[in-house]
Amino acid sequence: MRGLLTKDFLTIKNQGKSMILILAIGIIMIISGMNKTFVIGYLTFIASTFAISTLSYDEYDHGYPYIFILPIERKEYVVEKYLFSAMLSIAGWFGSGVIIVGVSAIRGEQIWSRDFGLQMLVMLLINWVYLEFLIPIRLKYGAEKGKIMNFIILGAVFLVAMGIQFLMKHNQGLLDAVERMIRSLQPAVACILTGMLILAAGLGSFCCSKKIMERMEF
Amino acid sequence: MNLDVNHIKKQYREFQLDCSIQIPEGRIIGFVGPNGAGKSTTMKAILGLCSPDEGQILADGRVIEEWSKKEREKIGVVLADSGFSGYYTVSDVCRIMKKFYSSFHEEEFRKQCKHFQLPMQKQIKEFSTGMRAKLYLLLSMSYDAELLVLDEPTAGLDVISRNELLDRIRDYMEPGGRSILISSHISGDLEGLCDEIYLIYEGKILLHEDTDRLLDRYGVLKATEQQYEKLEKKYLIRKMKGTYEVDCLTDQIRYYRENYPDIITEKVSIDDIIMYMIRGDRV
Amino acid sequence: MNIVINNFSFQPIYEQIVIQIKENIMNGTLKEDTLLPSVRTLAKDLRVSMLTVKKAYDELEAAGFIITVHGKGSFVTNANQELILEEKKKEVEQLLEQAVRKGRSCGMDRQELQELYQLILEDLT
Repeated sequence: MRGLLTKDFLTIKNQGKSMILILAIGIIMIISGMNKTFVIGYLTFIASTFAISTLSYDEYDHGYPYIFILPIERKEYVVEKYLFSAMLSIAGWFGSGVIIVGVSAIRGEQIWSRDFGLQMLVMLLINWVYLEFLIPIRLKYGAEKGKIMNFIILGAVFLVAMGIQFLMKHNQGLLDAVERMIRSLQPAVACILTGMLILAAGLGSFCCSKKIMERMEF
Repeated sequence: MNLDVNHIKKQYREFQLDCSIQIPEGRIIGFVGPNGAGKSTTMKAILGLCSPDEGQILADGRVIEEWSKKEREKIGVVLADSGFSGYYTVSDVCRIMKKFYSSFHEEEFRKQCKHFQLPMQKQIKEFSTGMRAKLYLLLSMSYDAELLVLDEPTAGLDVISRNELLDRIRDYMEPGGRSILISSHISGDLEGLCDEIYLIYEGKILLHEDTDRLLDRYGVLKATEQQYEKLEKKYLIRKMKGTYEVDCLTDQIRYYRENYPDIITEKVSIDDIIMYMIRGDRV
Repeated sequence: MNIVINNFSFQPIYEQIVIQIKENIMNGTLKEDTLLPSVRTLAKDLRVSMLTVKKAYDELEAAGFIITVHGKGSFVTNANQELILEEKKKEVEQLLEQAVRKGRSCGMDRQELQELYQLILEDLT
């Protein structure tokens, strides 16, 4: 695992220039007073894309065969990717959070509110759900086809969301029932439920990825 | 390490791979054959990169699927078209290898890189073909691997670099307990290096011989039609009809030289043998 | 020690090695108890496979010219006078055989050959 992490960190390091650029943009965004939650979401997302880029670099120019003759297990490769993605996304999320809080402090604005904290958390969770979809897709379809599949899936999700919205609009009864059900839930329970859902999705994603890599032939 | 490849089979569009080879400890085994004949597939199967439909691959008696990571550290590899990301420098690669292989000899590796003039801070994608080949060969030999699987390690190299690398490969065998499987299109390299040669064509092993037998006992008879009629066919393996002659490959060239001193005989290179085995007609 | 291999000769390479090492021993270039180069070193210097060198060394050992000590290498044995003589006699036999074959192939019969042999013997002794 250490070898894989070193390998991926070095890949990222070689993209140093892009990272500095992104960081600069992020700082400008913060200073110019953009919506804080949006900035955090954005920077977390960018951190994740750096993590995902290691998949592209691994695969590029027939890189996979050489990786898999190294003394690693296929499962280990998958685990490391999830770990690395989690590490980078948390780093981006936490880092941007710290900067925003710091800037707020300097400006004498309100540093912390429960709403803000919740929004931050939601950003991280959305990011993780995104990763949970993206990693298996990238592994199975590679970088080229993976991007296309990405669009297709996003499109599908969008359509489903539209569909639900449509259903809601035209079926007030259903909407009321759902609203009642959500309100009846304690916030704590809602959190736990959401957390479990994301965990389950994560596990499912991991199992898919593991199967994909274990079956892959070169 | 003793490697046994037992009848691994894989179905391809035009033919079926059915291959058995042995790589005993202390031997250098050469693997020749046209592109697409099954060399790379066999090597990939040995490395666990693809799985055969049937058959087993055993290392020291154990199936390779059961290997631990520690045991996988005993294998050194050069692949024909795969390697580390080109964005790494040799320094980066050193840092990575240290974390993967417990016996990685970093100082020795750096020394060798210096000797072969490989820049430590340049990105690999800027390397010439020759430099890349040297890098990956040196890497494969940098952690005391007991088995080297080298797929065309000298492809694209000029003659001087090739010989330097071949010398390094010979040196690598010195400590003993090691074996090498090497595939190449450059038969001349293999003639002076390998102990045994396997010729594979359309998935089947056409020939397996000790190299010195191939060079010493095999030969070509260049006979006229009349001479061919009277020839003892028992020891002829292949024949190719030319405009004025019938060329025959035999593995008993001495017999023919002694009994038919009038017929022109020639020694053969491994390239010639490949040509005859594949393009010649059976006798 | 001097060994030069002719890759284009019909004589098997391991045979060339055997003969040349024998010569080196018989004419004193390789003295008793000298350590021969390792199989790997000789193979590398001559650019032949290690198996070829090993075969040559095995044959030399079987003929009593060298002895292999496990872990140390191969050493030249006592230049046994009888062995050397034996070798030289074998060489003569081979040369005579060659001459006879050649004679046969250009049509000389037994009588011609014997006459020729007597002539040469008389000339030289």
